[in-house]
Amino acid sequence: MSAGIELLFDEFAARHARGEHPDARDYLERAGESRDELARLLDGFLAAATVQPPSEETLTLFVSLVPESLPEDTATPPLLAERVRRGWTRDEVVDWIRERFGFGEEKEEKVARYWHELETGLLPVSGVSARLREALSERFGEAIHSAVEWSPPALEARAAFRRAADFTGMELHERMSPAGPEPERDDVDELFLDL
Amino acid sequence: MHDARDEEDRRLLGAGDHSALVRSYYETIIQRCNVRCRTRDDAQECAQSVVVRLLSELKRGKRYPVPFRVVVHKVIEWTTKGFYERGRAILVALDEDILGDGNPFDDVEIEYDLERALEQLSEGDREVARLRFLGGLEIEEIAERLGKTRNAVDQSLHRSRKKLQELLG
Repeated sequence: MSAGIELLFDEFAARHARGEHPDARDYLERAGESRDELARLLDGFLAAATVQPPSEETLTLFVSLVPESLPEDTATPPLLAERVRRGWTRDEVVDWIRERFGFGEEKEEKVARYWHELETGLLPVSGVSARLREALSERFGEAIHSAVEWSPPALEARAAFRRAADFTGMELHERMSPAGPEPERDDVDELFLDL
Repeated sequence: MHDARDEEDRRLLGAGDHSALVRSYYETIIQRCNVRCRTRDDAQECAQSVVVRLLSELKRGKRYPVPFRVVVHKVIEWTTKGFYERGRAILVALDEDILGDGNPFDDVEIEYDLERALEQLSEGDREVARLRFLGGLEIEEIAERLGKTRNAVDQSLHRSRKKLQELLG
Protein backbone atom coordinates (compact mmCIF):
# COMPACT_ATOMS: atom_id res chain seq x y z
CA MET A 1 0.00 0.00 0.00
CA SER A 2 1.51 3.31 -1.05
CA ALA A 3 1.84 6.19 1.37
CA GLY A 4 -0.71 8.18 -0.63
CA ILE A 5 -3.34 5.46 -0.39
CA GLU A 6 -2.64 5.02 3.31
CA LEU A 7 -3.22 8.69 3.96
CA LEU A 8 -6.40 8.82 1.90
CA PHE A 9 -7.76 5.81 3.74
CA ASP A 10 -6.73 7.27 7.09
CA GLU A 11 -8.45 10.59 6.36
CA PHE A 12 -11.63 8.94 5.11
CA ALA A 13 -11.85 6.56 8.08
CA ALA A 14 -11.26 9.29 10.65
CA ARG A 15 -13.90 11.56 9.07
CA HIS A 16 -16.36 8.69 9.00
CA ALA A 17 -15.65 7.97 12.66
CA ARG A 18 -16.38 11.61 13.50
CA GLY A 19 -19.84 11.24 11.98
CA GLU A 20 -19.07 13.17 8.81
CA HIS A 21 -20.20 11.96 5.39
CA PRO A 22 -17.07 11.95 3.20
CA ASP A 23 -17.83 11.27 -0.47
CA ALA A 24 -16.01 8.04 -1.28
CA ARG A 25 -15.92 8.85 -4.99
CA ASP A 26 -13.93 12.01 -4.29
CA TYR A 27 -11.32 9.94 -2.49
CA LEU A 28 -11.20 7.38 -5.30
CA GLU A 29 -10.57 10.16 -7.82
CA ARG A 30 -7.74 11.48 -5.69
CA ALA A 31 -6.20 7.99 -5.65
CA GLY A 32 -5.53 8.11 -9.41
CA GLU A 33 -4.08 4.85 -10.69
CA SER A 34 -4.38 3.29 -7.24
CA ARG A 35 -8.13 3.75 -7.34
CA ASP A 36 -8.96 0.02 -7.18
CA GLU A 37 -6.63 -0.56 -4.27
CA LEU A 38 -8.23 2.24 -2.27
CA ALA A 39 -11.71 1.07 -3.28
CA ARG A 40 -11.09 -2.39 -1.80
CA LEU A 41 -9.81 -0.84 1.39
CA LEU A 42 -12.68 1.64 1.76
CA ASP A 43 -15.19 -1.07 0.95
CA GLY A 44 -13.80 -3.33 3.65
CA PHE A 45 -13.81 -0.47 6.12
CA LEU A 46 -17.41 0.53 5.33
CA ALA A 47 -18.54 -3.08 5.73
CA ALA A 48 -17.05 -3.23 9.21
CA ALA A 49 -17.51 0.31 10.49
CA THR A 50 -20.35 1.72 12.53
CA VAL A 51 -23.47 2.46 10.49
CA GLN A 52 -23.89 6.22 10.12
CA PRO A 53 -27.32 7.87 9.89
CA PRO A 54 -28.06 9.06 6.34
CA SER A 55 -27.24 12.65 5.44
CA GLU A 56 -29.92 14.96 4.03
CA GLU A 57 -28.31 14.57 0.63
CA THR A 58 -28.53 10.78 0.84
CA LEU A 59 -32.15 10.88 1.99
CA THR A 60 -33.03 13.13 -0.95
CA LEU A 61 -31.25 10.79 -3.33
CA PHE A 62 -33.20 7.75 -2.16
CA VAL A 63 -36.48 9.62 -2.28
CA SER A 64 -35.84 9.96 -6.00
CA LEU A 65 -34.74 6.33 -6.36
CA VAL A 66 -37.28 4.53 -4.22
CA PRO A 67 -40.56 6.28 -3.38
CA GLU A 68 -40.99 3.95 -0.42
CA SER A 69 -38.42 6.03 1.36
CA LEU A 70 -41.07 8.71 1.67
CA PRO A 71 -42.48 9.30 5.16
CA GLU A 72 -45.74 7.63 4.19
CA ASP A 73 -45.28 3.91 4.12
CA THR A 74 -46.42 3.33 0.57
CA ALA A 75 -45.82 0.13 -1.35
CA THR A 76 -42.93 -0.05 -3.78
CA PRO A 77 -44.19 0.92 -7.26
CA PRO A 78 -44.96 -2.34 -9.09
CA LEU A 79 -42.94 -1.61 -12.24
CA LEU A 80 -39.83 -0.79 -10.21
CA ALA A 81 -40.27 -3.88 -8.02
CA GLU A 82 -40.83 -6.09 -11.04
CA ARG A 83 -37.85 -4.73 -12.94
CA VAL A 84 -35.56 -5.39 -9.98
CA ARG A 85 -37.13 -8.79 -9.36
CA ARG A 86 -36.41 -9.83 -12.94
CA GLY A 87 -32.89 -8.46 -12.77
CA TRP A 88 -33.26 -5.92 -15.57
CA THR A 89 -31.24 -2.73 -15.47
CA ARG A 90 -32.86 0.62 -16.28
CA ASP A 91 -30.74 0.85 -19.43
CA GLU A 92 -32.02 -2.50 -20.64
CA VAL A 93 -35.63 -1.37 -20.33
CA VAL A 94 -34.93 2.01 -21.92
CA ASP A 95 -33.15 0.36 -24.86
CA TRP A 96 -36.03 -2.06 -25.26
CA ILE A 97 -38.55 0.81 -25.40
CA ARG A 98 -36.42 2.69 -27.92
CA GLU A 99 -36.11 -0.34 -30.15
CA ARG A 100 -39.73 -1.32 -29.78
CA PHE A 101 -40.96 2.12 -30.86
CA GLY A 102 -38.17 2.98 -33.26
CA PHE A 103 -36.62 5.88 -31.34
CA GLY A 104 -33.04 6.79 -32.21
CA GLU A 105 -30.20 7.15 -29.73
CA GLU A 106 -30.80 10.90 -29.59
CA LYS A 107 -34.05 10.13 -27.72
CA GLU A 108 -32.37 7.90 -25.15
CA GLU A 109 -32.08 10.52 -22.41
CA LYS A 110 -35.67 11.62 -22.84
CA VAL A 111 -36.98 8.05 -22.78
CA ALA A 112 -34.83 7.34 -19.71
CA ARG A 113 -36.28 10.29 -17.83
CA TYR A 114 -39.82 9.31 -18.71
CA TRP A 115 -39.10 5.73 -17.68
CA HIS A 116 -37.74 6.86 -14.31
CA GLU A 117 -40.96 8.80 -13.69
CA LEU A 118 -43.11 5.90 -14.80
CA GLU A 119 -41.44 3.18 -12.74
CA THR A 120 -41.25 5.31 -9.60
CA GLY A 121 -44.90 6.32 -9.85
CA LEU A 122 -44.50 10.02 -10.65
CA LEU A 123 -46.11 9.44 -14.02
CA PRO A 124 -49.27 7.33 -13.72
CA VAL A 125 -49.28 4.18 -15.83
CA SER A 126 -52.96 4.79 -16.51
CA GLY A 127 -52.02 7.97 -18.36
CA VAL A 128 -49.62 6.54 -20.93
CA SER A 129 -50.65 5.58 -24.47
CA ALA A 130 -52.44 2.29 -25.03
CA ARG A 131 -49.63 1.01 -27.24
CA LEU A 132 -47.07 1.56 -24.48
CA ARG A 133 -49.32 -0.14 -21.93
CA GLU A 134 -49.70 -3.07 -24.28
CA ALA A 135 -45.96 -3.34 -24.81
CA LEU A 136 -45.28 -3.11 -21.08
CA SER A 137 -47.87 -5.78 -20.46
CA GLU A 138 -45.96 -8.15 -22.74
CA ARG A 139 -42.68 -7.40 -21.00
CA PHE A 140 -43.81 -7.02 -17.37
CA GLY A 141 -46.76 -9.40 -17.30
CA GLU A 142 -49.25 -9.04 -14.46
CA ALA A 143 -47.25 -6.26 -12.84
CA ILE A 144 -48.69 -3.81 -15.34
CA HIS A 145 -52.16 -4.31 -13.88
CA SER A 146 -50.87 -3.66 -10.37
CA ALA A 147 -49.07 -0.60 -11.71
CA VAL A 148 -52.28 0.83 -13.16
CA GLU A 149 -54.01 0.40 -9.80
CA TRP A 150 -51.04 1.52 -7.70
CA SER A 151 -51.68 4.55 -5.50
CA PRO A 152 -48.98 7.20 -5.58
CA PRO A 153 -47.76 8.76 -2.32
CA ALA A 154 -49.77 11.47 -0.59
CA LEU A 155 -49.53 15.06 -1.79
CA GLU A 156 -47.00 16.28 0.76
CA ALA A 157 -44.78 13.32 0.02
CA ARG A 158 -45.10 13.87 -3.71
CA ALA A 159 -43.94 17.44 -3.18
CA ALA A 160 -40.82 16.13 -1.45
CA PHE A 161 -40.31 13.63 -4.24
CA ARG A 162 -40.58 16.37 -6.86
CA ARG A 163 -37.81 18.32 -5.21
CA ALA A 164 -35.58 15.32 -5.68
CA ALA A 165 -36.51 14.68 -9.28
CA ASP A 166 -35.16 16.96 -11.99
CA PHE A 167 -38.58 17.63 -13.43
CA THR A 168 -41.70 15.66 -14.09
CA GLY A 169 -44.42 14.73 -16.53
CA MET A 170 -45.67 17.67 -18.50
CA GLU A 171 -42.79 19.78 -17.18
CA LEU A 172 -40.47 17.49 -19.04
CA HIS A 173 -42.48 17.89 -22.20
CA GLU A 174 -42.58 21.69 -21.83
CA ARG A 175 -38.91 21.94 -20.96
CA MET A 176 -37.80 19.98 -23.96
CA SER A 177 -40.06 21.89 -26.33
CA PRO A 178 -39.51 25.36 -27.80
CA ALA A 179 -41.08 28.25 -25.86
CA GLY A 180 -44.38 29.50 -27.24
CA PRO A 181 -48.10 29.01 -26.99
CA GLU A 182 -48.01 25.72 -28.90
CA PRO A 183 -45.10 23.64 -27.57
CA GLU A 184 -43.88 21.15 -30.11
CA ARG A 185 -44.56 17.55 -29.16
CA ASP A 186 -42.56 14.63 -30.33
CA ASP A 187 -43.21 10.91 -30.59
CA VAL A 188 -41.72 10.23 -27.14
CA ASP A 189 -44.13 12.70 -25.50
CA GLU A 190 -47.00 11.10 -27.37
CA LEU A 191 -46.01 7.64 -26.21
CA PHE A 192 -45.68 8.52 -22.52
CA LEU A 193 -48.30 11.25 -22.15
CA ASP A 194 -50.91 9.88 -24.56
CA LEU A 195 -51.14 13.28 -26.25
CA MET B 1 -19.43 -2.53 18.68
CA HIS B 2 -22.64 -3.14 16.76
CA ASP B 3 -24.77 -4.13 19.74
CA ALA B 4 -26.84 -0.93 19.81
CA ARG B 5 -27.40 -1.05 16.04
CA ASP B 6 -28.44 -4.72 16.17
CA GLU B 7 -30.78 -4.06 19.07
CA GLU B 8 -32.47 -1.18 17.22
CA ASP B 9 -32.77 -3.37 14.11
CA ARG B 10 -34.48 -6.10 16.13
CA ARG B 11 -36.91 -3.52 17.50
CA LEU B 12 -37.78 -2.20 14.04
CA LEU B 13 -38.13 -5.73 12.68
CA GLY B 14 -40.44 -6.63 15.56
CA ALA B 15 -42.51 -3.52 14.97
CA GLY B 16 -42.70 -4.28 11.25
CA ASP B 17 -41.27 -0.85 10.43
CA HIS B 18 -39.35 -2.05 7.40
CA SER B 19 -39.04 1.36 5.76
CA ALA B 20 -37.33 2.88 8.80
CA LEU B 21 -35.12 -0.18 9.14
CA VAL B 22 -33.85 -0.03 5.56
CA ARG B 23 -33.69 3.79 5.60
CA SER B 24 -31.19 3.64 8.47
CA TYR B 25 -28.77 1.88 6.11
CA TYR B 26 -29.03 4.32 3.20
CA GLU B 27 -25.66 5.93 3.91
CA THR B 28 -23.88 2.59 4.09
CA ILE B 29 -25.64 1.32 0.97
CA ILE B 30 -24.79 4.31 -1.24
CA GLN B 31 -21.24 4.58 0.11
CA ARG B 32 -20.44 0.93 -0.53
CA CYS B 33 -22.11 1.01 -3.93
CA ASN B 34 -20.03 4.08 -4.75
CA VAL B 35 -16.76 2.33 -3.98
CA ARG B 36 -17.80 -0.92 -5.68
CA CYS B 37 -19.24 0.56 -8.90
CA ARG B 38 -17.43 2.22 -11.78
CA THR B 39 -19.76 5.17 -12.20
CA ARG B 40 -22.06 7.19 -10.00
CA ASP B 41 -25.04 6.15 -12.15
CA ASP B 42 -24.19 2.46 -11.74
CA ALA B 43 -23.85 2.99 -7.99
CA GLN B 44 -27.27 4.62 -7.77
CA GLU B 45 -28.91 1.88 -9.78
CA CYS B 46 -27.32 -0.81 -7.60
CA ALA B 47 -28.34 1.07 -4.46
CA GLN B 48 -31.89 1.24 -5.76
CA SER B 49 -31.88 -2.53 -6.40
CA VAL B 50 -30.48 -3.23 -2.93
CA VAL B 51 -33.24 -1.24 -1.25
CA VAL B 52 -36.05 -2.71 -3.36
CA ARG B 53 -34.75 -6.20 -2.75
CA LEU B 54 -34.43 -5.74 1.02
CA LEU B 55 -37.92 -4.25 1.29
CA SER B 56 -39.38 -7.01 -0.84
CA GLU B 57 -37.82 -9.76 1.26
CA LEU B 58 -38.88 -8.15 4.50
CA LYS B 59 -42.46 -7.80 3.30
CA ARG B 60 -42.46 -11.48 2.40
CA GLY B 61 -41.62 -12.19 6.03
CA LYS B 62 -38.04 -13.22 5.40
CA ARG B 63 -36.06 -14.05 8.54
CA TYR B 64 -32.27 -14.25 8.69
CA PRO B 65 -29.85 -16.22 10.88
CA VAL B 66 -27.57 -13.19 11.29
CA PRO B 67 -28.02 -9.53 12.30
CA PHE B 68 -29.81 -7.46 9.67
CA ARG B 69 -26.73 -5.29 9.03
CA VAL B 70 -24.89 -8.38 7.80
CA VAL B 71 -27.78 -9.09 5.43
CA VAL B 72 -27.52 -5.54 4.11
CA HIS B 73 -23.81 -5.95 3.45
CA LYS B 74 -24.28 -9.31 1.74
CA VAL B 75 -27.05 -7.97 -0.51
CA ILE B 76 -24.84 -5.00 -1.45
CA GLU B 77 -22.04 -7.40 -2.37
CA TRP B 78 -24.25 -9.79 -4.37
CA THR B 79 -25.98 -6.96 -6.18
CA THR B 80 -22.87 -5.04 -7.23
CA LYS B 81 -21.05 -8.25 -8.17
CA GLY B 82 -23.96 -9.41 -10.31
CA PHE B 83 -24.35 -6.01 -11.92
CA TYR B 84 -21.02 -6.36 -13.69
CA GLU B 85 -20.60 -10.11 -13.92
CA ARG B 86 -23.87 -10.68 -15.67
CA GLY B 87 -24.79 -7.18 -16.75
CA ARG B 88 -27.80 -7.44 -14.53
CA ALA B 89 -28.86 -5.66 -11.41
CA ILE B 90 -29.21 -8.71 -9.18
CA LEU B 91 -27.82 -12.21 -8.98
CA VAL B 92 -30.89 -13.99 -7.72
CA ALA B 93 -34.52 -13.17 -8.33
CA LEU B 94 -36.32 -11.69 -5.35
CA ASP B 95 -38.70 -14.59 -4.93
CA GLU B 96 -35.90 -17.14 -4.75
CA ASP B 97 -34.28 -18.13 -1.52
CA ILE B 98 -31.01 -16.26 -1.39
CA LEU B 99 -29.66 -18.63 1.23
CA GLY B 100 -29.61 -21.60 -1.13
CA ASP B 101 -27.52 -24.51 0.09
CA GLY B 102 -25.36 -23.84 3.09
CA ASN B 103 -25.17 -20.56 4.93
CA PRO B 104 -23.82 -17.61 2.93
CA PHE B 105 -23.54 -15.65 6.16
CA ASP B 106 -20.71 -17.78 7.52
CA ASP B 107 -17.43 -16.21 8.57
CA VAL B 108 -18.72 -12.73 9.13
CA GLU B 109 -17.26 -12.11 12.56
CA ILE B 110 -14.27 -10.01 11.49
CA GLU B 111 -15.38 -9.01 8.02
CA TYR B 112 -18.32 -6.96 9.30
CA ASP B 113 -17.02 -5.76 12.64
CA LEU B 114 -14.21 -3.23 12.83
CA GLU B 115 -13.86 -3.65 16.58
CA ARG B 116 -13.14 -7.35 16.14
CA ALA B 117 -10.71 -6.61 13.35
CA LEU B 118 -8.85 -4.22 15.62
CA GLU B 119 -8.53 -6.99 18.21
CA GLN B 120 -6.05 -8.61 15.84
CA LEU B 121 -3.61 -5.74 16.43
CA SER B 122 -1.03 -5.58 19.20
CA GLU B 123 -2.28 -3.91 22.37
CA GLY B 124 -0.40 -0.67 21.77
CA ASP B 125 -1.45 -0.35 18.15
CA ARG B 126 -5.03 -1.30 18.96
CA GLU B 127 -5.52 1.63 21.33
CA VAL B 128 -4.16 4.11 18.79
CA ALA B 129 -6.27 2.60 15.98
CA ARG B 130 -9.42 2.67 18.11
CA LEU B 131 -8.99 6.36 18.84
CA ARG B 132 -8.36 7.11 15.15
CA PHE B 133 -10.77 4.78 13.31
CA LEU B 134 -13.55 4.51 15.86
CA GLY B 135 -13.17 7.85 17.62
CA GLY B 136 -12.04 10.01 14.71
CA LEU B 137 -9.38 11.80 16.82
CA GLU B 138 -6.62 13.81 15.16
CA ILE B 139 -3.05 12.50 15.36
CA GLU B 140 -2.05 15.23 17.81
CA GLU B 141 -5.00 14.47 20.07
CA ILE B 142 -4.09 10.78 20.16
CA ALA B 143 -0.48 11.58 20.94
CA GLU B 144 -1.49 13.87 23.77
CA ARG B 145 -4.03 11.48 25.21
CA LEU B 146 -1.65 8.50 25.21
CA GLY B 147 1.49 10.45 26.09
CA LYS B 148 3.23 9.46 22.85
CA THR B 149 5.07 11.47 20.23
CA ARG B 150 3.37 12.27 16.94
CA ASN B 151 5.92 10.12 15.18
CA ALA B 152 5.12 7.14 17.41
CA VAL B 153 1.40 7.53 16.64
CA ASP B 154 2.13 7.75 12.92
CA GLN B 155 4.22 4.57 13.04
CA SER B 156 1.55 2.76 15.01
CA LEU B 157 -1.17 3.79 12.53
CA HIS B 158 1.02 2.70 9.65
CA ARG B 159 1.25 -0.82 11.12
CA SER B 160 -2.49 -0.84 11.81
CA ARG B 161 -3.40 0.19 8.28
CA LYS B 162 -1.24 -2.61 6.88
CA LYS B 163 -2.95 -5.13 9.12
CA LEU B 164 -6.42 -3.75 8.34
CA GLN B 165 -5.69 -4.04 4.65
CA GLU B 166 -5.09 -7.77 5.17
CA LEU B 167 -8.22 -8.18 7.24
CA LEU B 168 -10.64 -5.93 5.37
CA GLY B 169 -9.18 -5.32 1.93
